[in-house]
Amino acid sequence: MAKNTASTSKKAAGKWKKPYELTNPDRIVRGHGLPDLLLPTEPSTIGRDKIDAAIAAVIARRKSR
Amino acid sequence: MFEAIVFAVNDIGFRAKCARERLDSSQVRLHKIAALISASRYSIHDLSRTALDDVNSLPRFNMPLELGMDLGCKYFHPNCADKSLLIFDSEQYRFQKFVSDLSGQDIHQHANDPKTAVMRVRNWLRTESGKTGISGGAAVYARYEAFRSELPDICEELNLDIADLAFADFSYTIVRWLSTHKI
Repeated sequence: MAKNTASTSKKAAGKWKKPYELTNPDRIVRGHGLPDLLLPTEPSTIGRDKIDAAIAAVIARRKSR
Repeated sequence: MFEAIVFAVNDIGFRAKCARERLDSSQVRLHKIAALISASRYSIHDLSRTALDDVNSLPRFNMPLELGMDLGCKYFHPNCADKSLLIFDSEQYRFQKFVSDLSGQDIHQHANDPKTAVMRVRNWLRTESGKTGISGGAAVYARYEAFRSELPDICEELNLDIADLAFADFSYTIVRWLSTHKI
């Protein structure tokens, strides 16, 4: 077990990450009419739904003025 | 300035990365920066904040250090030779007083004006990426101003302190705002 762990660590340490490689390519936002936008690697602490709801609320509030 | 540049990068269709987006304290900060440098084809380095510290009378030198790492990556890694860097300072030739080895590099001035910075970022990304269909710098800045005017209300809705907004939340909010404010 120890041997496997050491082997894996050595392999990981020696691996050069491919330049420009996207760490989370699945986080692509599509369908917004803009070129693909990639969300931050570290997800927001708030969550997309809440942010969308807040933006929608602000838009609605401004329209009603 | 920083927020305007992050917004412009996203609005133009790229993803803005920053060492502040990762909050994992177990990671060494320099390792985070090195990872971002190796993963980014385009980098923006703003040397304008290299100024004497009021307490120690020593300059803050993180940005020149990070610029040096990025230049090293471009020069020494064959796969990174096509990296493109945009280097900012506030005034023309100011950088020569503290990093004279950069003389001969094309350093851009933003005069501490966010609009100037946005326009230069836009023109640089347009030229270097060859990307078409990008709005003009003035239009990008106008969208930034619209976003900035709504941000306090968005933060209020989310019960967030706008002065203490985490980079990931700020960046995420820009992306979602752009998706609901299409050109």
